Amino acid sequence: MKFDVTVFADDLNQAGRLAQAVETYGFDGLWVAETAHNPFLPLAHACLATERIELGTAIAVAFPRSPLVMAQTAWDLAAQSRGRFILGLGTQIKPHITKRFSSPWGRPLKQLREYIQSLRAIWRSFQTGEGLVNQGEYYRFSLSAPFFEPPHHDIPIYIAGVNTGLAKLAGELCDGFHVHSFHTPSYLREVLLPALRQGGEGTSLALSCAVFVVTGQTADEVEKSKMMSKSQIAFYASTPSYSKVLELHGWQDIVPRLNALLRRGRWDEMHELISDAMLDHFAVTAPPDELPYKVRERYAGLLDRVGFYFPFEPDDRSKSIIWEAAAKAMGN
Amino acid sequence: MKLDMIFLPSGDLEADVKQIQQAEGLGFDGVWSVETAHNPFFALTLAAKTTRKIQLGTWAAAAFPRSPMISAQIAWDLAKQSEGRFILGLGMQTPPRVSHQRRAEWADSVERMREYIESIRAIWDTFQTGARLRYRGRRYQFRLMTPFFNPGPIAHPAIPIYLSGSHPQVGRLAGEIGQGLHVTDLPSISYLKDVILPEAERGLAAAGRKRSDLAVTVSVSDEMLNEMAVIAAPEDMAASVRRRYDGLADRICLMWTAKQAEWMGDLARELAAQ
Repeated sequence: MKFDVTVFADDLNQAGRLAQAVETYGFDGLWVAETAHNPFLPLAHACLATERIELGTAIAVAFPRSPLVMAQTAWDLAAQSRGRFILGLGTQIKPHITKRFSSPWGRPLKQLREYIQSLRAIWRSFQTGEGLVNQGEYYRFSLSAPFFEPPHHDIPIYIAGVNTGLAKLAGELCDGFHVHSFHTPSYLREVLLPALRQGGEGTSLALSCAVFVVTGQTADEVEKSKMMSKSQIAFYASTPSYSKVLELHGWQDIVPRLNALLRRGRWDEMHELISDAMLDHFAVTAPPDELPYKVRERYAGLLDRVGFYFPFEPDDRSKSIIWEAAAKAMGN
Repeated sequence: MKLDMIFLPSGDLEADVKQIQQAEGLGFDGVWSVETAHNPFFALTLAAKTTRKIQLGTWAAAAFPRSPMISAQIAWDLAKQSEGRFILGLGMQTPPRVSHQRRAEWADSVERMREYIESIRAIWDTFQTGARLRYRGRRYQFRLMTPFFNPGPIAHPAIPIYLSGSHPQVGRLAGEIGQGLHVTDLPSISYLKDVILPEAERGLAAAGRKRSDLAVTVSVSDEMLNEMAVIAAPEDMAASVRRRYDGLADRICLMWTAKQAEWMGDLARELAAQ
């Protein structure tokens, strides 16, 4: 099982140092999330600052960028990292695509399928110098003379998803699947894995996830960590299209209550609707030195690469201790 | 007058950063990264870390293939990192002369660019002040931003936007709402003086702005360079010079520096021999 670090890189001048730290700890990969910041800029720094670790997005939002823009960005990072780049893509959900990105939302599964096919066709064209004609419902390209040089090997594509449609597509077409942190092991085992297998029986597909953890050295830290996880879980639970996870456990009645709080802007009360029993399904709770073993135990046979949904801040002693323990456990 | 460098990313980020550092060392005021075969922002974020003064901008980053939110966020990240040295240059990637059939499509692109820029500014305002995101155009509508996705205020939020192109309507739009105009592939000086700048002035006047509110940068077209200089490989130079000036000039003046002496000697011998 590989061990990765996921970050929300908010300081571009520190991005290289952060990536170096991930490599020095001995982890396998660095994933950058796209939330309040662009995920590719920090990775450009990471390419130059590291030699060994894999570098990827978890995830970059696909539809607000043309496949050509995405293909070129990925190509540059793959070339610069000498093949260490993994492109992780997500659809996001309808309200974010239409209202936050002002981009069209039709049938997302069909669109993402075409998007991935377009990326691969564009890369092939970069690689071979052949013209490109791609005629789909969502994306149409005709490029006569691509002016791109250094050929290199295939860029792995991972996609992220909560529901079975995307899992099936990943099984069929992708190199990996970013399991959303908002999942339970039962949901992963009973719902997602069968869908992934349905998409591609016997294919080698890497399953990756930054799992929710509750940890700390003092009771105070543990309490804070618990609150953070509960808030984040509550935020994801309020997303109507993620309700299948809750339904499996019979917890779907919290969705309208969470949404009522959300509408009234009472973000800080949402965590109260996540009980400790629910938290145990979503998050691994353990002291720092036991945490990596517990994560590995819970996800053995389920995930190929894991990380913690926990801030990676090597300069903050209270947080770095968590990662040091993880690095130590990797060697065992 | 400021002196800038047009910068073509090479695909080798280490070499690219060195080149930008060199430009800063030589006293250049700005560098404009072109988006052709490579992402134009990568070299700029790396250079932002290792330079102190030079302005870092894009010449004509492709606008429409990115949602305005994507461009707004990239610009915000780079403006923050570079402490206000970033300039967002946007292009429409449309030829300077537009055929009759495509005129309606082109007019729509210009209006779309106006909305694109207005959207970006609305988004930046929400980033800076936390105000509700509300933009309603015909082509773009924005009305969702949550704290989780909002990068928050920065020290230099007034990021300049430059428009790239050489179509008169681009000049006009830049005059109306841009901080700058990148005149791309300028075909001639008279085109600049008689067509583009008057349009930009009209745009400025319509928006009640002054000429000093708009920075104009120029890149020379191959066409124009060709008009002024003989462009040929060393071995073809003599023949090219002759072809151009036979029957027009009786004496050809070559301009050269000491460093080019050897090469110039070959050319002179060849010209004399013909």
